[in-house]
Amino acid sequence: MIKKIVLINSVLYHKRTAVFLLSLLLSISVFVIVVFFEEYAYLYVPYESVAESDFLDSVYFIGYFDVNRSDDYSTHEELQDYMNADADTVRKEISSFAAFDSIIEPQKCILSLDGKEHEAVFYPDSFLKRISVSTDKGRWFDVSAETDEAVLVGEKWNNRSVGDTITFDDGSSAVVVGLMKGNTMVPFFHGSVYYAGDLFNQADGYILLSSPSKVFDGKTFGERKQYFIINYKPDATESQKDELSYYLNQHGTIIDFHTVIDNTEEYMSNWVSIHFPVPTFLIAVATVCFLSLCTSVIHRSVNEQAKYMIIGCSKKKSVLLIIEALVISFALPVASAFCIAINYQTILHLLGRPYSRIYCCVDSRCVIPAVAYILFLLACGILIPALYYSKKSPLGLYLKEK
Amino acid sequence: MENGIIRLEGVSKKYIVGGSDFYALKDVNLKVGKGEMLAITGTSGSGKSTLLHIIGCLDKATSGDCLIEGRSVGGYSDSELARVRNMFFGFVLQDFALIDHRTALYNVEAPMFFNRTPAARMKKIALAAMERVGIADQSSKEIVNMSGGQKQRVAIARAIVNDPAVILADEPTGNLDEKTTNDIMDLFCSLNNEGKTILIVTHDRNVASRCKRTVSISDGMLYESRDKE
Ligand SMILES: Nc1ncnc2c1ncn2[C@@H]1O[C@H](COP(=O)(O)OP(=O)(O)OP(=O)(O)O)[C@@H](O)[C@H]1O
Ligand SMILES: [Mg+2]
Repeated sequence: MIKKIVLINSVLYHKRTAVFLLSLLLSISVFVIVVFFEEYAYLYVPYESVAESDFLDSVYFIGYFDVNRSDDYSTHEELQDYMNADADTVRKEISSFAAFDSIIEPQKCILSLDGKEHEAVFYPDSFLKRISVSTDKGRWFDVSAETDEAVLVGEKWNNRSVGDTITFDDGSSAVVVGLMKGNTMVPFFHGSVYYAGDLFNQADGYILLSSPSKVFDGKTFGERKQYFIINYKPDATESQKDELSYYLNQHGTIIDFHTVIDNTEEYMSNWVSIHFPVPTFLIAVATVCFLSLCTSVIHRSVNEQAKYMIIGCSKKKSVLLIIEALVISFALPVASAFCIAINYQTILHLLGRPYSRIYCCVDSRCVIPAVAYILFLLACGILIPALYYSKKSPLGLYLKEK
Repeated sequence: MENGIIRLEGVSKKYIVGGSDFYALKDVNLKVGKGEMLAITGTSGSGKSTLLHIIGCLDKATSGDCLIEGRSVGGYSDSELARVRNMFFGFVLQDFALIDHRTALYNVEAPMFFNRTPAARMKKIALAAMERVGIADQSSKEIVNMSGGQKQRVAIARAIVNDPAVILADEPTGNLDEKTTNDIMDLFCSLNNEGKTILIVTHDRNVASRCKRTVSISDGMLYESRDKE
């Protein structure tokens, strides 16, 4: 073991500064790719959910905030009460429109569990039937399930597992069917919307529940009521829909989900065009440097390896030594950069910067490009020395040189 | 010396130079007995180093057979040959083949990297070998900062560190003054007296005269010179 370390050190000895700098560069590159895709996932994951949802024939209503009257209300609460009252009126009045079918809205409230309060979101069946989200463990809700189901979000729930029953302090209970990592994008449908991400929230520590359920019964919900989805009747005519839209537009704004999708696509392509060049450039530079450093490490060590071969190193040992030197010197930093990148948010959290709200989300697909890149580096680190040695032997070169 | 510790049978070495064949060794037959001290002489370019490399399993013969302790090395694998180089031979090559930017001690320890010597014992063994050649006090010096004679001794210490049966030395006194040459030859003689088989390639008649047997090479062909004494 000591011998191996000494020999590996001797392979890298002449290039140690370059190796150090390059492993730093590669680590940064890998970090940057992972973060790039995490940030992209922040846009893409909600986009995908909405694009595949059954909301495309529905509209999203955003209660109107009347700027002219805002002076009439001295406190935020008063203003909120006014807006809720307005939203309540809308909720009542729309039922008289021919095109109107139903309101779909997730409900938020605080639930008490083991003496601690937790934020909870209830999804009605009409909502769950139309949209599905992937979980990290277990599954998303099954609307046909008999029992009340819960999906827990965040590291806070690490002590719970799929299949556990959680009993709230009011005696109601739900079965945990799925677990999601902290800061995963969770459907929220609450607030102003421009692109799909606005419909989601990076929920950490949330309890998601299906409703109506026993847990749901008798709970009071969040004070802000002016955001909801309006579902049209399937047989509503265009003119009936227009009539409803006209009414809604007087009380607020409506946005249909096709527009949300279009906005998101535009936003994503802009985002990519702005954020793509830097990581690409970095990766390209790092890759070229890596390939050239691999060859130059081999070249540089040929003479020394020949001398080792004279005194009893075999060709196989020599090539393995070079492979190990390359792999170890780059794999360790790169692997740690990778681990840091995928736990980026948790680490920032631990460092005392909770909710500096980094716009990224870890989706298992985010790591695929980085893993592919790391495998590529690994393959180069193995193949370049192997190919070199298959063509020439350091000992042969050494004897010929003399 | 019935079979000899080293035996070459019809060994030839062909190089292709400028598209045509060039024989550096032609049908060489040689038998070296255990404990012999043999000088190989010849003009520059006659094939002395080539012969030594083939004997030492550094290079392969184009045709013919090289037997070590009666066994042909022709069929040996790369790692078996490496093992022979490590344990059976000690090399003192023409250019020393020392690792320049490392200390003398590192160089002497190096052969032990490739066998089972425990890492903890390497330093002690290496220092003993350096003591033997009178260079122990220079152990922490880098090779680049050493004189020719010092490097020569480091190379010899490295050659004997694994206690090999045979020492192959290529011009070990090449650029040394007479005094140093004599010291080095004394060292080889004493190693030989301990039972090591020694093959020395040399230009120097004085060096050759201190060996018990001399062969000479001319244009790749080996001629037996008279046995001394
Ligand atoms: N790799 C090679 N390719 C072509 N020719 C070679 C090669 N190695 C050696 N030779 C030739 O083989 C011949 C023998 O070389 P060798 O090195 O054995 O000579 P030498 O007797 O050791 O000479 P010197 O006393 O100068 O060291 C020389 O003519 C040399 O040019
Ligand atoms: Mg020579």
